Amino acid sequence: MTVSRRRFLTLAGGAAVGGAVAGSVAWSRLVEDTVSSAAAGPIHPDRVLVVVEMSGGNDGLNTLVPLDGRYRDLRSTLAVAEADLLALAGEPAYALHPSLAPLAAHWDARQMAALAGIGLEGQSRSHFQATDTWSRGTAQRVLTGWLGRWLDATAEGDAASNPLRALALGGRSTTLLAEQSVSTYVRDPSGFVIDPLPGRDAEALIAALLATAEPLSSDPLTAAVQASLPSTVEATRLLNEAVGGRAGELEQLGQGRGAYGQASALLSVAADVLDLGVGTQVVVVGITGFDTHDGQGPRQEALLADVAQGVDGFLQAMQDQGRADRCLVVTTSEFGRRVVPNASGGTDHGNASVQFALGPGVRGGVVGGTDLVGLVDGDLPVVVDTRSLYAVALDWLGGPTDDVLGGTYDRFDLLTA
Amino acid sequence: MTDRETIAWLTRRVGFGPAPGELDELEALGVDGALDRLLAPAGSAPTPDDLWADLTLHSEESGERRRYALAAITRWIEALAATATPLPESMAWFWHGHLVTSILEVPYPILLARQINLFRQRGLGSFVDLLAATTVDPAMLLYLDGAGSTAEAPNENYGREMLELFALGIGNYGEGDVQAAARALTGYRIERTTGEPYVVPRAHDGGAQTLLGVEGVRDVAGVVDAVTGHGACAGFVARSVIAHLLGPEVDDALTDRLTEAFAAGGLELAPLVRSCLEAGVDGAAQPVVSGPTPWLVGALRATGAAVEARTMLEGLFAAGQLPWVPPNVGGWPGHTAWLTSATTVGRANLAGAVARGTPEDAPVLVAAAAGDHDALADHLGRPEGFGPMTRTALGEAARVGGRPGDAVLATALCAPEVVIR
Repeated sequence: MTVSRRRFLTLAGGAAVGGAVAGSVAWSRLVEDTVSSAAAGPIHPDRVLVVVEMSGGNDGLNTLVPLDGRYRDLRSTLAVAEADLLALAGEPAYALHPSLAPLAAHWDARQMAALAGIGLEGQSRSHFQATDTWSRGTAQRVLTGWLGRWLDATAEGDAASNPLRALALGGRSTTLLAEQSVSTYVRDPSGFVIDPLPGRDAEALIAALLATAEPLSSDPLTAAVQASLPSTVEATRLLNEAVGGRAGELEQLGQGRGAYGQASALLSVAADVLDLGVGTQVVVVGITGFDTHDGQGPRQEALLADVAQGVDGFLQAMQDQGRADRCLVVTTSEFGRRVVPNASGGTDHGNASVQFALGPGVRGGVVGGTDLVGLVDGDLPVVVDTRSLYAVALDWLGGPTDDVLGGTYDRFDLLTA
Repeated sequence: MTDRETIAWLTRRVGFGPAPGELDELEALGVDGALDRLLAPAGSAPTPDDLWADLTLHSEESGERRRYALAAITRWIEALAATATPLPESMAWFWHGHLVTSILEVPYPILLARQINLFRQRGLGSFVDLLAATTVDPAMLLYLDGAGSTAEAPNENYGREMLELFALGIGNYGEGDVQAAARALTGYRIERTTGEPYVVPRAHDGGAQTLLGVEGVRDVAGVVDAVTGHGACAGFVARSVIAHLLGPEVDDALTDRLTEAFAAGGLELAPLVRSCLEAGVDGAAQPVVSGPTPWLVGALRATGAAVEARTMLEGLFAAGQLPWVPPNVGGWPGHTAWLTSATTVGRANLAGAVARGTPEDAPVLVAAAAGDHDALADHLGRPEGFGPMTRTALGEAARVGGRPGDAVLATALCAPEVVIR
C-alpha cells in the first residue's frame, strides 16, 4: 500500500475542520454525568483492538457448550450433537461448536479466552435496550459509546483529527459515538469512493463539495451536516486503496440469512486497512443475523463459521504483516438466548452468553461459567460483567480504563502483558 | 417565512418535496388551500392499487428472487418520486420504518410488496385496524416468526417487538405480557399456493390469556384490543408520527395535546397527520436530516432524472438505507445518524447520478447551468435560497467540466440546505 505517513498527515490536517461529526451525534448536547477523563496519551499507540459485534443476540450456549448432562436435556432437539463437538485441550467442562474449528489452533496456543456467563444485570430482553447498554458500557445515561469515550480521552496531536483512527465496517456501531472524536463508518467497502460524475474532474468536484463546509455555520445542525464532508473525503482517499475492487455486498442480497455482510470479508478489509499504516487503532466489524428465533441450527452454524474463518484469517494476516503481537480481537453480542428452544427450532431472547478474546496478548482459557442450575426466568445467569471484557480491551489499548467505564471491573488476569 | 417557504416545507413533510411546477400551483391556493390540497388524498386510495401487480409468489432460485426483489424496490422508489398522491405514499414509507419487515428474511418479494400495498391503502386509517392487519400480514408472520409458532412452544418474537417497537414502548409491559401475546397469536401458517395466512386450530393456544391486565384474550382481535386500549399506545404511536412530520424533539405540551386528541379520536391517523401539519405551519416544525431514501426520492421528483436501477440501489445500500433492507426490526435510526461517512459517500455519488440523469431541458438543470442559484434552490423545494457557503461552492462547481449544470446540481443536492428537510 502506498499512502505514506507524510501524505497521511497532510490529509488528516485537512480533516481537522471536521471536528466531531463523521461518527454522528457528537456535536449534540450530551449528557448528564459524562465521564470526565484526564486526557492521557495512549501507552500503546501501536496496538490495535478489533471488536466483532454480532447483532441479534448470539446463542452462547451452543457456541461454548457445557459438558453437562443438563445441557442435552434442556436444549433437546437444538443441542449440538456430542460427536460434533470440538474438545478443548486442558478444558474438561466445555467444548466448542464445530463451526469454530478455525479457532482451535488459537485455543491450543493458549491465546484464546472464553468469558462464559457474560452479560449485564437488570436487562430487559429488548434488542435495543441491550444494544444500547452494551454500547454505552456504563450505567450512566450518556450518549457516547465506550470506545467513543476512549477515543475522546486519548485524542492528542495527529490522532485527534485522524478519521481512520477508528473505523466501523458493515453495520453502524454506536460504540464509537464520541463527543469530539471523528470515526469513519463504511457500510459497503466496495462503494467507499466519492466519484459523483465519473469521467469528470473528480478533484475539482470534491473541492466544490468541500467548499459547502467552510466556514462552519453557527447553527449546530447545519454545522454538523457541513462537517461530515471533509473527514469523509479524507477517509475515502485513504481507504480507497485498501478496499477497491471487492465484490459489492448487493450481490449477496437474497442469498439467504448469514450470507449478507460477511465477517470474513469485513475482517479482510480491516487487515488491509491496518496494512496502510495510517494510525488505525480501533476497528468495529458489525455483522447481523444472530437473532435466531427459527431454524437456529443451520443459521448459527453458518454465522459462527463466518466469524471463525474471519477472525482466524485476520490474525494470520496480522502475522503476515508482522503485527501479530499488536492485535486483540474481542466479540460482543447484546444478549444470549433462552435455554429451552421454541417451536420454530430456534431460541428466544435470553440473558448471559459467551464472548471471546483472542490474540497473542491473551491468557487462554475459560473464565466465569455457564450455570445451568441457577437459571433465572429460564435464562443463564450473569456471572461475568460485560465491562470486564471492555476493561481487558481498554487495558490492551493503554487505558484510561476505569475512567472510560466509570468503575473498576475484574480483568480476570486475561492479558499476559 | 413566506407562504411559498411554508408550502415548500409542507411538500417536504407531506411527501418528498415538490415536482416541477408544483410550488407555483400550490402557492396560488394560499397556505390553507395548499394544506387542504395536499391532505385531500387522505382516506382515498393511492393509485394504482397494486404497484407490483405483475409479481407472482414463486420465483424459485435465490438469484431470481434477488432480481425480483431489486426490481420491486426500484419500482417503489420511482413510484414515490412520481406520485400524484404524496401523502399516502409517504405514509407507506413511514410505516415501513415503524412496522418493520426485511426482505432478507422474507423469501418472496410479493409478500413484502403486498405489505407495502397494505400500508399504502390503510396507513392513514385507524391504527387499530392497521396493527390488526399487520399482525397477520404474511411478510410480518415470516419476518417475526408468527408463522409456525405453536401452542406447545410459542415464539415470542412478534409479541415482544410489537409491544416494544410497534405499539407501546419499553417499560409499558412485562415479560408475562410478551408471553401472553405470543400464546394468543400461535397457530398461524402461510398457505403455499396463495401466500395467504391461515390458522391451524390444533396449533393455536385457545386458552384465555391475561394481556396488559385484560382478561380473556384468545386471538388477534383480543391482542390488538388489549394493546391499542392500553394507555401508552396513543402516545407511543403519536410520538412516532410527530417525529416523522415535525422532528425528533417537539415540545411536550404540543405532543400531549396531539396525543390526547389522537386517543380521543380512537387512534384515527388522518386527523393526527392534519394536526401535526397545522402545528408545523404554525411554527412547531424542526429541521431534520433526511434519510438517503427520502432525499433521493425528493431529488428524483424535483429533477425528473432517470437513474439506472443498479446505480440507485448500490448508492442507497452504501448510504445505509436500501428500502426493504432495514438494519433490524427497529428500522433505520434517523436524523443525525445520517451524518456518517457511509451516508455522505453514498449521497454524493447518488447526487452525481441524479445530475447526470436529469433531462437537458429540466428547469432545475437550466438554472444550475445558468448559475441562477435562487431558481436552483426553488426548483429543489427550497425557495428560501442557499446560504453563502453553498453559493461559494456552487460557484466552484460551475468550473468543473462536463455538461453545463451537472456539477452544480450535484453539489446543490449535497448542500446542507437540501440535506436538511
